[in-house]
This record gives sequence, structure tokens and C-alpha cells, in this order.
Amino acid sequence: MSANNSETVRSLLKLVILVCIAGAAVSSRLFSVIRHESIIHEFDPWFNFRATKVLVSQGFRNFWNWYDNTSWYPLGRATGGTLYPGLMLTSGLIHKILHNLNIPIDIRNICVLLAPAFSGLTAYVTYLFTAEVKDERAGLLAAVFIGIVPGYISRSVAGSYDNEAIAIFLLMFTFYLWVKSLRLGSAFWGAITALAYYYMVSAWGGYAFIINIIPLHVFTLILMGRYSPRLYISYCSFYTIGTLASMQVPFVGFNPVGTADHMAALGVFGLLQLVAFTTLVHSHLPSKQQFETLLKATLIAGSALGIVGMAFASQKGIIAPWTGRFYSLWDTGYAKVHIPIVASVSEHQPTSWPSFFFDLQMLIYLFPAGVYFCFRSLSDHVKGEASVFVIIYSLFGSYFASVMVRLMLTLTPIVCVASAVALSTLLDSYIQEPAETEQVAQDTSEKKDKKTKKDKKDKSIEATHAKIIQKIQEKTGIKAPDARLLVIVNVLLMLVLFVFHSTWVTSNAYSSPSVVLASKTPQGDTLIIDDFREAYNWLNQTTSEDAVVGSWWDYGYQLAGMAGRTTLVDNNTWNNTHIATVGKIMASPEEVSYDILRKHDVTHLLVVFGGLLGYSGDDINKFLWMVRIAEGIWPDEIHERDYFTPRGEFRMDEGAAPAMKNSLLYKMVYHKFADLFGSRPAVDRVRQVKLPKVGPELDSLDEAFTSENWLVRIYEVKEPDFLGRSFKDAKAFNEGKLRTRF
Amino acid sequence: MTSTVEKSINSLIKSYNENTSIRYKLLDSFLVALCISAVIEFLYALAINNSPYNAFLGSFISKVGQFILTVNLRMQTNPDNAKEFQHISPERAFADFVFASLVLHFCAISFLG
Repeated sequence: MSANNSETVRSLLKLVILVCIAGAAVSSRLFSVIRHESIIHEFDPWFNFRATKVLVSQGFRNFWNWYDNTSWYPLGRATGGTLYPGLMLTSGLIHKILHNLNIPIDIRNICVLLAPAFSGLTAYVTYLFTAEVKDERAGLLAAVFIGIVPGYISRSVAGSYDNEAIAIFLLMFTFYLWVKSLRLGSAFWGAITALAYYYMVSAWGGYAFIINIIPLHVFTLILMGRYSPRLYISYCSFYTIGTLASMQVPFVGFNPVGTADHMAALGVFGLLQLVAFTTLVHSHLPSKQQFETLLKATLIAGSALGIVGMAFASQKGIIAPWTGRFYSLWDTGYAKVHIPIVASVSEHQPTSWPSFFFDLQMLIYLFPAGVYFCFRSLSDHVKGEASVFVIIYSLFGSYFASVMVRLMLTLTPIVCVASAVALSTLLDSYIQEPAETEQVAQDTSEKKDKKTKKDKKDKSIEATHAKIIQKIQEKTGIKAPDARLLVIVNVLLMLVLFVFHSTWVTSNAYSSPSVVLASKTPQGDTLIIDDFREAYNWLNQTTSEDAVVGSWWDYGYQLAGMAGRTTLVDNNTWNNTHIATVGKIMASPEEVSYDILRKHDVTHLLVVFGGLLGYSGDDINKFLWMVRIAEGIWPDEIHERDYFTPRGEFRMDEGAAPAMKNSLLYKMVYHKFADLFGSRPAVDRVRQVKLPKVGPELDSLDEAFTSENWLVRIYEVKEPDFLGRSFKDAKAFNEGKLRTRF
Repeated sequence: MTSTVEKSINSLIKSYNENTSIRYKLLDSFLVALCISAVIEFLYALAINNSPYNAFLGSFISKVGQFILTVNLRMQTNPDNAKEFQHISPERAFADFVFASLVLHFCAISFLG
């Protein structure tokens, strides 16, 4: 009765704790909503938000077949088939359900709050996963960690409406289901795993991680000699149903049967068939020798057939080779040489050491200890398999996270799990009741007794010895009260510090919407800089609806989402040539650019300039990437070298290279900037340089709008001169300077 | 070498005939039929044509999947494996089989277009 009672109390406590963790996870992600407002952040979320609005307002069918002709002008984009629809469908479904319940919540608020809500679910799923690896105590710790760790918060604050918002939940959910189906050996759970995997495929390109890590787990288990029917059932049912299901997502298409990224899974599938078949044969063959000859024959024939088949298929081009983005994971210099557009994104850079500590704090040094404890539990019949999984995931997760900043996100969950295992192992041995340890000690001594039944004298001596040692340990050893207190207080202190660190990082580093900037005046007041929305709103209110706005691709999604205008390029970056065209417009002299602008019907150009404010992420700092990408397409016309001074400096002041001074971007950015400073020399606060007294002149563009802090500048492209003169001549004529010779 | 292989195969067939119950033989014949039809379909796709590709993939994978699920059922109900599947009764195994097959064929049908 009392045991039953304490069990009920325990499960109730667990529930309360989990709800509290979910509450903490959600509320620590609300900083930006409280400080600013309920607003969508950054760049990609604006596209997702726009797509969700299309889904909600025009219905599922129109969303599925959505052809967006306001982006990538004049090409357009078959948006419905080139996105991962999971995120939009999720929020669309929530919207529908809530509206059917007569809760008229705005779709924007659903989008803003989706990521925090799912982070609560992630905490719960991580609890379940860790419980499979170790026990429920470790699970609760892991749930706390994943709930507030900055490495995960960075992609899931309120307003960060990106694929990762739900993808990390789905990643952990799939892994949990996988480990569970492996433990039970049940086709039912295998099928559920496949369905979760399908959801993941529809939500994030990172599904490739799952379809490589699970086969690797299976392969390792086979190599370790731990093949079992459970392994066969869970993997095969997962793989066949998962593959078939994943091909239903239009963007993924036939990739799962046609690209090298997915071939490891297929290979392991084939290998499992061979192994299962040989085991079946084994059960029917009486002699070992016969079995071995047969085993050799089938294995050799099978692998030879498989290898020849794979080689033939890759030779014929049936299996597509690894994609460039994948190569860039193994060779960190690859992207810079071959795909500058990938390398130009800051989140694709290798991770620096401090950012591991910044994002994970104490977890990063508990993590190896956790992996060590997983190695220790390898011999466990069932939990051992989950431990192998944790080890493999840790290895690959760490590697990928160190290659790309962005992939820190996939490492974070396993770091939380492993650290929780380490910490709870530590606490298990220090918090446990003394009575229990005594019991254990007695048990072991009793076992020893049975072994040494023959010499009773020895036994009695040994028993007294054990008792004495135990007594001594209770007072002075590591189990003594003072030692326990020391360890427990230390652990508590670490945990408290972790909470403070996480909250501080979340509040200071990851809660800025980046659409609205906040800075502090010298007096300590908060200053809100809202130039982006000011400019986008200006575009929305004053330009005609068919205006085409040119800008660097970073701002494409925001322009479409906030200004609602047609853009040349956006963050989808599917067409490198088109992006290079914009790079060429920015990098070329005015006359060259004007022709390209007219050919593309561009009416407005938007540039971002941080020189007045000291905002370092502006277009001048991105300029070299524009030049490089343009050079990749037009190597005869654009040369990166021209934009440096003969001494190899990248300068903006008086001594800037001629190509730099003539480039359209330079002119747009510094147009009339010197006038702002009156008689004093103009200073660019980002580059920390003094600019020439006389700023650049623009002939073919008119300044249309400059935001309050000069962060965003918009230019209108002039109509061609009505007499067919060049803009220079027309200007000179108007000023009365042109001498005509008859 | 060939003679030992031949011998092994003969003793294998003999042992199979003697030690397998009629239920499993029924399942195995279903498996063989699935295998043959999948191989024929694959060869046809390889040699003649495979378009529409989605229809070919849908039917081929549904065959492979059905094969796998039947093998699963066979493994889970096999008394030799009882130690591995303590939680799974034969009835539960059959329920698993039906559920997973439903999911599989639902996907296949929606993929056929």
C-alpha cells in the first residue's frame, strides 16, 4: 500500500515538474515579445510567415500549387513545390482548430508563439528519450537542460518562426521513437517512427541527419555482434515506410532513392536482409562448418552484388553524387572556392571555441563524462543499444557543430542528454539514502559468503573486515556526510549558475528581432531603432503595387513580407546567376548598371548603410561577397582585385580604388553623406574612416527615401531621358554647362 | 568446395522441411511470391521502362515493405525468438502487422497518384 502510494506521489511530482519545465522553457523565450512586440524576426521567418498567410487565406490547394511571381522577378518561383511545408501546415492546422473552437487568434500570434510552444514539447520528448537511455531522474535533468540551454533558444525564441522551431522537437521525437521501437522490437512503433520521420522530412532539410545516423547506429550494432530480430524489425519497418512516406513531400521528390545522401540507409537495409537470412539458415543447419561455408558464400556473393550494383548505378548517373553543401561539411574550404553563396552566409562559418561555452556553458564539460557513462553501460542488454546511439550521435553531432555554427543546434539536444546522464549518475551515488547503500553492501557481502562457503573462518574475517571498512567509509570516505554535502552543494551551485548564464545569454544575445534594433544611450535609456520597418512601410505606402525593388538577397524576404513588393532576389538563393546579376548591378559603374536595371524593370534600389549608426552588418561589409559572386558569372567584367587599392587594402576614404569609387553601391551608400556633417569631415563609424569632402554624384538614380538613422536608403531609377541623351549630358545641359558645337 | 556447398544446401532444405510448421510454410510461400513479383517488376523497369517512376516506386516499395512486415510477423511469433519478444504476444504481433501494412499501403496509394 505504501509503495503504491509513493509511486502515485512520484508520478504526480514528475508531472508537476515537467509542466514547470515546459513553463520555464516557454517563458524564457518571451523576452523579445515583452521588450518589443509580437513580431516576426530576422529574414527566413518572414517568408515562412508570408507562406502561412497564403495557406490561411487561400486554402491548402492554392498553397500547394502556389506560384509566386513577385519574387525572383522576372523568373518567379514555384514556391509550393520548393519549400518544406511542415511548419506552415502546423501553424495553419493550429489556426484552424482554434478558430473552430471560437478562439479568434491572429495567425501572426500563432506564428510568433509556435517556437516557444514546441520547445516545451521538446523538453518533454527529451525527458522520454533520456529515460530510455538511463532513467527518469536523468530524464528530468535533461528536460531542464534542453528547456533553457541557449544553444537551442538561439533558434526558438518567440518570433523566430523558422523550420528549426519545430524541427528540433521532431528530431528528438523521431530518435525517441526509434530507440523505443528498437527496445520493443515492434513493427507498430517502427511505423510510428516512420510517421514522425515523415513529419520531420516535411519540416526541415536536416532530416538527412536522421536518415544517416540511424543506419549508422544499426551498422555499428551489427558490427558489435548485437544483431537481433528486434533490430531487424524496427529498422526495416522504419526504413521502408519512412522512405515511401518521405517521397510524398514534393521538395524531396525521388531523392530518397536517387541521391548518395540516402544510400547508406539503403545499404544497411540490404545488409540486414543478408544477416537475417543467414541467421535463419543458421537455425536450420546442424553443423557449424556447413553454416560457415554457406555464410561465406552468401556474404561474398551478396556484398559483391551490392557493390557492383552501386558502382554501376553511380557510373550511369542513376544515383546522384553528394551535393556541394554536403562536401562543404567534410572540406571546410570547399564552399569558399566552389559555392561562394553558401560561404557568404555567416551561420555557415566554422564555430569558434568560445561559442561552445557561450551556448552550452557547463554542459560542454559534463558532456564527455556523459558519453563515458554511456560507454560503461554498453554491456546492458537493452539500455546498451540506446547508449550506442547516444555515443554515435555525440560523435557526429560534435563534428558537425564544429564545422558549421548553424549545426550547433543539432548538437545541443544530445549534449543535454549526455550531461544529464553524467550529472544524475553523480547525484545517484551521493543523494541515495544511506540505508539503501548498506543494503547493497550487505547483499554483496552475502553473495561473497555463498562463494566462499568452504572456508568459514575466512568468511567471518572478511565479513568483519567489510563491516569495519563500511563504518570507516561512512565517516570519512566519499560517502561521508561532509563529502556528500560538498558534492551536492557544488552541483547545486553549478546548476544555479547555469540558469543565470542561460537567462543572461538569452536576454542579451538571442532575443533581438533584428528587424527592430535596440541600443542604449549614454544615459542608459533604451533607444529603439526602427529604420527597417520605416523604410519598408514607406515602400508599401508610396510606391505603386507593381514596383520592382532591387536589393541584395538578404533583404528579399523582408521586402516581400513587410513591403509587399516584387523583388529580384531573396534568401531562397536558388538561382546563382540572378544573384550575381544583382551583385553586378551593385559592383559596376553607373552606366553599366543602369542598362541592367532597365532590362529587369527595376524601379527602386534599396541599400543598407550602417555608417552613421555604427551598424556593422550593412551592404558595404557584404560588398566583397557581391563582387565575388558576380565575378563567378562574369569573370571578364568584374575582378575582385580591382576593388582593392594597389597595396591590397579595402578602403572607403579618399584613397579608395577607382573601381570601388565608381561602383553603384559606393555611390548609393555615400550619396550626400558628407553634407550631413557640414564643414566637418564625414566619418563612417563602421569602417572608422574619414570620407572625401565631396561625396559621389548620382546621375541615373534619384534619392527617394532615407530612413531616420540612414540605415536604409532607397533610390528610384530614373526614366530614360526623353531626348535620348545620356544622363550626364542632360544634367550638364540643365545646369547650362554643356557647350554645343555647331 | 561445390560439393560441400551442395551438401549444405541439401541438408538445409531437409531441415527446413522437417522443422517448419505449416503456418510458417504458408507465410514463406507468400514471401517467395512477393520476392518473385518484385524481382520481375524490377527487371521490367530496368530493361523496358520505368515511367511513370512514382507508380513503379510505389508498387515496388509496397512489395518490399509487405515482405519486410511479413518477415517481422514471422519473427515475432516464432517461438525461438520468444525470449526477445516477451512483451509481444502473437495477437499483438498480428495487430502490429495489420497497422503497419495499413500505413504502408496508404502511403503507396497516395504515392501512385
